[in-house]
This record gives sequence, C-alpha cells and structure tokens, in this order.
Amino acid sequence: MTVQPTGPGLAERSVLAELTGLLAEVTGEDERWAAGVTPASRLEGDLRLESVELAALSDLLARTYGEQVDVAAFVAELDIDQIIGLTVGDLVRYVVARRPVTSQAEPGGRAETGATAGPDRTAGTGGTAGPGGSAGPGGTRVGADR
Amino acid sequence: MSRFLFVILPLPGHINPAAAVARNLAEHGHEVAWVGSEARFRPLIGPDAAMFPTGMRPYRGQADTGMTSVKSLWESFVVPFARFILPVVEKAVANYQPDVLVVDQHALAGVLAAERHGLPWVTLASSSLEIAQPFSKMPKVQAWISGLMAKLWAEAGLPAGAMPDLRFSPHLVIAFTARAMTGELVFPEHFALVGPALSGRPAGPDFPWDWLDPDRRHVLVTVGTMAENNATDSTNFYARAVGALRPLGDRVQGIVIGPPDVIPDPPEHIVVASRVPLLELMPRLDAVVCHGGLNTVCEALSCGVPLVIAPLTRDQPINAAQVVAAGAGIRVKFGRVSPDQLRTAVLSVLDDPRFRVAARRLAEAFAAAGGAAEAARRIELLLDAMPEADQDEPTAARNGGGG
Repeated sequence: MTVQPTGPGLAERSVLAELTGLLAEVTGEDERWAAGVTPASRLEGDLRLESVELAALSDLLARTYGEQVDVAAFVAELDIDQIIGLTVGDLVRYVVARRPVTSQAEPGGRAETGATAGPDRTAGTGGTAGPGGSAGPGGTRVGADR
Repeated sequence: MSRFLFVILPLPGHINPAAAVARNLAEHGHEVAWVGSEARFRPLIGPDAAMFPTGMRPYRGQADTGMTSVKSLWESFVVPFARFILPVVEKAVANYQPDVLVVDQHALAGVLAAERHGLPWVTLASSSLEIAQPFSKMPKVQAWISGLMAKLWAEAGLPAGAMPDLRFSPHLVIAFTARAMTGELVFPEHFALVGPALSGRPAGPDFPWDWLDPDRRHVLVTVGTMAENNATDSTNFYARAVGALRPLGDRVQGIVIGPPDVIPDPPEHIVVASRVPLLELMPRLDAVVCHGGLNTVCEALSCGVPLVIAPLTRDQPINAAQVVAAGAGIRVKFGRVSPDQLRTAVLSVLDDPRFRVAARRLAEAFAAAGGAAEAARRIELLLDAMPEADQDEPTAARNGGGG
C-alpha cells in the first residue's frame, strides 16, 4: 500500500512552487525574480502585481486546480486592508483549502475548465450592467468572474 | 439665465474639461462661479472668472498604486478635501445663490452643500475610476466607500438614510468619455457620455515648431501631473522611454514632457520640456506614450493618435484596457517594461496602420459624442425640467443654513 504524501507542510510547499511559477508567468519575470518570492511577499506592495495580472493568475490557477479555486472571487470578498495586505502565503492556503483532494490535481495536471475567462479579460471590459443612481450599482469588474 | 457654481478638484485634468463646459454655459448667457484654489484654477479658467477661494493644502500618499492608491485617494484626499472646502462651498452657495451646483465626482463637499440647501447638482466625471465601477463586485470595498461618504453626510447634518450615492448625481452625470471607450457597460438615461471637452482652452506655451522634421515621425512621452509626483518611478520611466527612442533618430523625433533635469543631454532628436502646447501639438503626433490618465488618452484619441500606455494607478489600468480593447493602442507594464520592449511597442503603433485606424474611429466617436457643447446642452435640459426656481420662496436653509 502506497502512503499518499500529505500534510499541510508538503501540500503548501508544492502549491507555493506552482504558484510562484504562475506568478512569474503572468508578470513576465524571470527565475531570479521568482527566487525572491516567499509566502510573506505581498502581491500588491512587494510584487507590484497589477489587476490584469491578478485576473490572469486567477484563470491559470483555475485551470491548474479546477474551477472551485476562484482567486478572483476570493479577493472580491475581502475588505480593502485585506486586499492591500494579501500575501502569496494567503493564496497558497486558499488553494490548498479549495482544491480537490485527489492526487490528480498535482502541479502540471491542469484541469479542463472549458470556456472560462482568458487572460484578455481585463478591467473595464467584462461586464454588462452599468452604474445605477444608488449606492452599490452593478457593473463591470476587475477580473472577477463567477 | 441661470447661475452655476462649479466645485472641482484642483487638478488640471479635472479643471480643464469643467472650464470648457463653463465657457459653453457662459456663451449661452448663464453665469458661472468657481470654488477652488486661486493658484491652481486661475491659469486655466481665466483672470475674470468669479471665484470663492479655498487656498490649497498638500495631500499625502497620492503616488501609491493598486488598492493602496484607492485607500489613500479616499482617506488622504477625497474625505479631508471635502471637509477642507465645505465651509467655502457653503459660503459660496449662500452668497452666490446658484440654481445648480456642478460637482466633480470626488469633490463631495459640493454635493453636501447642494443637498443641505435643497439644490440640484450635476456630477462631472473626468476619470474612469467610478464610471467603470471596478469595485461593483467587491461588496466590502463598496461598503467601505459608502461608509466614508455616510460619515461626511452625517457630519454635514444631513438626515441618515436619505443619502444618495454622492459620486453619481440622480439628476445628471456627465462623463468625459464615450461609449466607444466603455464598451459593454450600460448606463442609465441620466448619464451623458460626452467625450473629451477640449474646446476653447487657452493657448499653450511656446514650442519650437521649426524643430519638427516633416520627414520623421513624432512621439510624445508624458506621465501626467499625478505621476510626476512619483519622482523615483517617473524618473526611471523617463529614462526607459528615452532609452527606447534613442536608437530611432533616423525616423523618429521624441517630445518628452517633464522637468528638463531628469534627462540631461538628450540626443538631437529628443526635446525635453516641462510644458508644451499639448492640444496644438497633438494633430502633428504619430504616437503618444503615457500612463493612461483619461484626459491624455482622450486628447490623443480625439486626434486619431494611437497610444502606448504604461498604467500606474487609479483609473489608468481601466483606460489602458479600454484602449487595448478598442484596438487603438498597446499596454505595457509601468514598473517592468524595458527600453527594448517599449521601443517594440512604439514601433508597432507607428508601423501597424490598424492602431491608427482604430484611433481615428474613436476620434469620430468622440466628435459625435459632442464634448463640452453637449455637456452644456444636457445641463440646460435639466434646468428646463426643473420647477421655476424664481417662483419658489427661498428656503431658510438657502439663505445661510447652519454648519
């Protein structure tokens, strides 16, 4: 009987490595940059991740781990200080908690997600509802797609 | 004839379009007065304009990016600015007795004073930040902004539970963008997207027109008034932009707007000036490299000039995405673009005619949207729809009001 390698430490290390690679992919940065990414790196303050890059990262993570990993929706529910302080470690913990518990969902095994948003989904172009006259009107969104 | 009080942020990109609307209203026989800092407003609205001066305060943190910039925009600028100018707006309303307040989307004191005196107000949106509703699916960010507005509302003594969204007039919202830019967004009837309001702006400073070589193409580099404050980043960006243009002296002349000391010894084909006559220069340009502020973007597109946009903060990423979606430009990364990458982007918009075709399409859409004249027409329609103010008994609040 094979013992499945589990435990938070291992799972998180594996997701961290995959996430760091995806971060380099969406930012166009190199391995040297990626080597400096740690769980404590803040997406906004340290990595200067732009909103379109976060949207692209969200799409890549959904393709990698399945649609239930929806980082754009996760971020959309945060308050402004949580978004400002959001770290790579926060995303790792979210992915580990949300991804399917099967050995198929390991790095490299990108799940088919059909017609999810591509990286061309950018701020200000995705929605249909417009601003209304009251507080909290509906409208477009930055990357979020549910 | 009616009387309008303009309450606008003390930034050129906000004052210029408002001044174009004010000039149109004045040409139709209306009276206009302004609340604002003499130093910031006078050069743009003229020496004869009626003003209720506010003085000027420095505001911190306006060089941040991302959600940090949204937080600093509200906490360090929108809210303290509203508190700072509200007494002057109150005094202006009492003394000037306007029929309508014309209020910058982020100059919330104008809304508070209008509501306190029972006057109608018009919103002017000279940025895409609110119009594009980037936080509409972020309930906690929305609630945080609503909470800040509710606090100002309560401080002004206005009744709880009756607060409209202070960013969007329920009567008329005029946005200096066009549907060709906003794409699939749907707006209510009382939103007028009039395009850029460029008419009648005072002539710009001198420029060495003879220096422009008709056999070379002309690329303008500008980071806008906000980003210039971000000294480290923008200096770095200037250096990269000059690095991008440096090898292109045989076919390109570059005009860089910035303090001359940031680029010592520019090559023969690059001129550096802290101010240029932008509107006069624009029709002679072949590409604009900028951070994507709505004014610069619309000024370029209204002349059919394609763009390379390196968005930094605020509505700049939204505008960049809209320009890219319309096919009129290329987005590059502000913090990361190398001189080589920037050169490739500039050469693409210069050499691939599709960008210029798309930019010209937007120019036509902007012209059709009507600009400042259309904005003035919509404001006059609002007056027509209002009950005759002159026949009303002036209310006690209108004659002074507490505060």
